Formats: sequence, structure tokens, C-alpha cells
Amino acid sequence: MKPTFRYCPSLLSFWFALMLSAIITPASADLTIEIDQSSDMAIPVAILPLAHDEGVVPSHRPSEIIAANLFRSGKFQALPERQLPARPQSIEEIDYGQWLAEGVDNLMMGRIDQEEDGTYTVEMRFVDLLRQEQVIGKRWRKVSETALRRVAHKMSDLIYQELTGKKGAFNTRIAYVTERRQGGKRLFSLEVSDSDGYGAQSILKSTDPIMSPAWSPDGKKLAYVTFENGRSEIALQYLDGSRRDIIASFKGINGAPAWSPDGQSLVFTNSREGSADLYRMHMATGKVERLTRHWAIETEAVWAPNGRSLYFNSDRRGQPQIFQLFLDTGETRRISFEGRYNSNPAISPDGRYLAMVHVKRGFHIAIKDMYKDELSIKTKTRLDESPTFSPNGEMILYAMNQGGRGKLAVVSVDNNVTQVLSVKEGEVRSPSWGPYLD
Amino acid sequence: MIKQNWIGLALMIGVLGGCSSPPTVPEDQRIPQGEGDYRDVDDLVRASQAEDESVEVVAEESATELAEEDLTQGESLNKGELTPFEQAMGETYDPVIYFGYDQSQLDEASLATVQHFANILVDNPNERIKLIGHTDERGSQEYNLALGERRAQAVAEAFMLYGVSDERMEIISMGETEPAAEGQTEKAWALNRRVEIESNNESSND
Repeated sequence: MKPTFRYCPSLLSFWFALMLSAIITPASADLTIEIDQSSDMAIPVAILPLAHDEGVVPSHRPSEIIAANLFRSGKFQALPERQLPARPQSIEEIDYGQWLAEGVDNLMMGRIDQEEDGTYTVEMRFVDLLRQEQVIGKRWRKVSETALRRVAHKMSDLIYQELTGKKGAFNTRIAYVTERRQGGKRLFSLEVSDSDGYGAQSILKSTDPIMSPAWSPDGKKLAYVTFENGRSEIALQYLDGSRRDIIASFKGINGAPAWSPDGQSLVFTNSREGSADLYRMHMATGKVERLTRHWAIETEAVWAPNGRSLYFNSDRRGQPQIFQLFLDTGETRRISFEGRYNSNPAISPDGRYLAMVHVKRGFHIAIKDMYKDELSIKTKTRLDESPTFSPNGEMILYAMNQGGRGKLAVVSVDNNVTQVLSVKEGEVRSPSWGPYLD
Repeated sequence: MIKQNWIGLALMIGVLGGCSSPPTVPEDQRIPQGEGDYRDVDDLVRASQAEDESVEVVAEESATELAEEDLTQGESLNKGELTPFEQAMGETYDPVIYFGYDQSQLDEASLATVQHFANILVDNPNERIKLIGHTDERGSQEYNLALGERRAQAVAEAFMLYGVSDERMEIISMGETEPAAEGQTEKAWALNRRVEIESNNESSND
């Protein structure tokens, strides 16, 4: 049942060396996207394939990546390529009336050229068809084959910002845990991929469970829970592979790591005094301070964006509910009132929305609008958990179960458009959306 | 599932020899989880929902199963090295306590199980145990990690009631990460809400 090396320190360190050598393994299984539901509210936009000379065959098509990103937001829908009425090569060639007749108010066009050294030069123009005006013009040089996706995500971010006034979060990364079976053994992998699930890299492989990855605010480290020593501990790992340490291995459970917005401290759950309570570790000194004292389970802390309070789950009223702890005064107040089970809080970057696991004939993701004091259930599947906001607060990534398999899904905050991300083989859990890359 | 617990216990005992003899039990001798186990799963669920008397009947059946397994797997288990305590642990009661949804209370049958193992521990004062708490997959992973610990603590408190000092018990929670049964069914969930009692001679072998 348990891996037997646990009992042998020498074997353990050998295993560790093996695991660390596996860090930064390229080409893990990318997540694949299934379109679950489209929105009637999605605004049509024209995303023209980038013009190119004959023989230029980039491995990724930026226009397709951009169209998929915009669709995933739930707000926009790119005109299918075959429905494009024309393919103008320059601003001068645009017949504005032709596009407005299609109900399209915005158009992206551009070029991709391959240089002698094999890199690409990518150019984009985004046109407001109503005003007949170019609103974005941008060029990227020396783009390698592998960086093409990243440039496409940056283009998507620029378009999203132009259309919504809000910063796009497509050029970001997500972390999650995959589990598959091989010869009766379970293989867990902590992976990091682009926000659309492509470019997945495994940063840790283990035969013991991994869960709850948490990004440091600078996006360079992940804290997460590992069971590699037979019980829950918190590991801190640098994404560049330079370092990995077990930072919380106290008596009892060690779980639910949450970085403070300034990256200076980590709140986590520990039960050294008997029941699960919240503790805060100061990263510079390693000093640990107790934050809650209660016989109930207190766990799943997340920081308010201003760093002054924590939202957390406590079952002090008999069942899990969300509470808020003010760090300056030590005051606690209850936040969730609807329903008998509310857990796993996540707070939007502007502090307005609190996402949580809410039970109503199943475990769903619900959002509480803290301004209006209204709760709305966002998901229809029945085993949803681990909500995590995109850094611009526009989307929520969460774990769900479909057809007996653990998958990830994205739902937009404004509407209920859902897209499912899954691995070809095995299950995906514990998603965490990383910060802006730049 | 009953089988699996017994084999797990037996395997663990076989492995407790320490670092000097590296573990040799190959993967393929473990009882696989999954589809094939559902017949056992059904039996156990029926039993766990039945009256107190029938719980003991199940325990006796499982003891028979253990005897059969011992015959087929005897060589790899180093049976000769089992201590009287380890042999006694496997004799009549399944070393697993089950719980209701989001619950950590022990019912009468569970207390009887604890009392049985507590008596063995009282008779064998050098023996130690691990109490490993588990939950079903529903709800959040971190809350479940804490809930699994609370269940293991509840079992530890019952052991203390029957005279076992808390220093002899190691409490571990695996949360929802090690289901005993797969699938999104009430049956599977009922089997996964559990505390496993395992012999723990780790420290005495160091």
C-alpha cells in the first residue's frame, strides 16, 4: 500500500535525487480544451490569419490561439475562418461596410515573416471598424518557434484590454497536479503550463500525492503539499529547478499554503496543538506564529488583496463556512451564510468576489459578490472544487469531475460560459492560476 | 477491500524488518484497487449498514479470507517473523473504522473494534500503532485533510478510553488522496471515509 522506502533514510535520499533530476522535464501531456457551452452574449470579432510568404509554416498559428483565448473569456467569438468575407493585407484594403454587415466591429490583421536565422517577425494591427481607425499596432522581432505561443498570448492580452478596458491574463501560467496509473502504481506530477493548458512541464513527479500548489507573488516559486514522507508536509520549490526544500513538517497536518501579497510570509494550516489552525511563517526568518486558536478545523486561508485580512474555512458552527480574520485586531467575522457547506475560498484580485465550494445538491463553485452581498452558483457539475481566479479577476479556474475523471474547467465571472481542460490520460486536480508574467 | 486491508497490513509487517533487508515485495503481489473489487465492496457496505451482530460476522469472514491469502502469499510475507502482537491484530477484527458523511463519531461497532485492538496493545506494551485517517473525495482537499485527521484523533481518543497511551499512537491524515474504492458512488464514498489501524514498529526498529 505505502511505498516501502519510507522506512529507510538512505533509500529516501536516493529517491529524492531521482525526483529532482526529473525537474523541468519537457513535453508533459498538454491539457486539451473541450468547448462545453458557448455564450449568446459573445461579441463577434474578426481575427484574420496572419499573412505570410509561401513556405513560411510556423508550428503555431497565432490567429487560432488568439481566437481560442477570446472565446474562453466568454465575452468574444472570433468569426470562423470560412465566414471571413475578405482577407485584406493592409489597412487601405479594408472595405469597412463589408465587415460591419457581418456584425463585426473589430478586426485584427497582421503578418508573420521568417528571418534568415529562422526566427519570426510578427506584426499585428487591430482596427476599430466603426471609427475606421487602427487602435493597436505592434511588432515583435526575433520570435523563436517556441515563443510564438507566448507572442500570441500577448496579442490576445492587448486585444482584450482594448475591447474591455481590463488587462488581459492570457499570457500567464497555471499550475496543477495530474495523476495517472501505471502498473498498479499511482504517478503524480506537479505541472506548470500556459493559461490555455499548452506547454505543460512537469516540475515534480512522485508516487505519493501532491496537492494545493500556491504561486509566490513574483511567479518564481511554488509552495505545495507533498506526502512523499508518508504524511502531509509543505515544500517550496523554485521553478527554475535551483532549489527545493520542505519548509513545514510540523507535528500534525501541514497544508493549505497561501502567500501574502508581498511574498514575505506564508499562511498555512497545522495541527500541532490538536486541531487544525492557521499559522503564519515569516519567510526571511522561518519564524512561525499562530493565528487562530479554536477546537474546530480552521484551514484553507487566502489573503485579502490588501494583505490585512484572511478568508478561511472553519467548521466551528458544525459545518464548514467561510470566515474572515482581520490580522491587525484578531477579529473574526462570518462571511458565508447561505447553505450548509461552504469551503475553499478564493478572492478576486479587486476584493469584490469571493469564490467558494458551495453545496446545493452537489458541490459547486459559487461566487459571493461582496459589494451586493449576493451569492450565485456558477457551475452545474457536482464535484467542483479548488477555485482560483485569473490575475485580472475575469475568470475562475477550478477542478471538476466529468465521466468519472478529474478535469479542470474555466468559467467566466460575468457569465456562465464554461470550458473544460483535460489530460488525455489520467486526472487533473488542484489548479492554481499564477500571477502576471510581466 | 477487506482483503486489501489485510494484505496491506501483512505487507507492512513483512517490510518492517528495517533498512538492512530492503523491501522485496513486488508490486504485482499487491491487491489491485478498482473494478475487480466491487464485489467485495458490495459485501462490506451491506455489512457495515447491517446490525451490530453482522459486523462481527463480516469480521470472521475476513479472518477466513486472511487465512486463505496467507496460504497463497505466505512466502513473501515472512510469516515466521510476525510477532504475537502482529498475529493477534489480524485475527478477528478488520482494522478499519468507517464514518458517516462529514462525521468523526464512532458508533458501537467501531468502539468494539477499537476495544479489541486496544486489548491487544495493553497485552503487548511495546507495540505501537498508526491511525491513518481518510475521507471521501467530495468537498475541498484541504478541509478533507483536516477531517481525516479529526477522524484519526477520534479513534485515538477511543483507544485512550481503553487504556492505550497516546504516545503509542501515531496519527496521520491522508485526506482524500488514498481512496480505498474508486468511483463516484455512495458505496465508494462510504468505504473511503475511514481510519485504518496499522502496526507501527518503525521507531522500535531504528
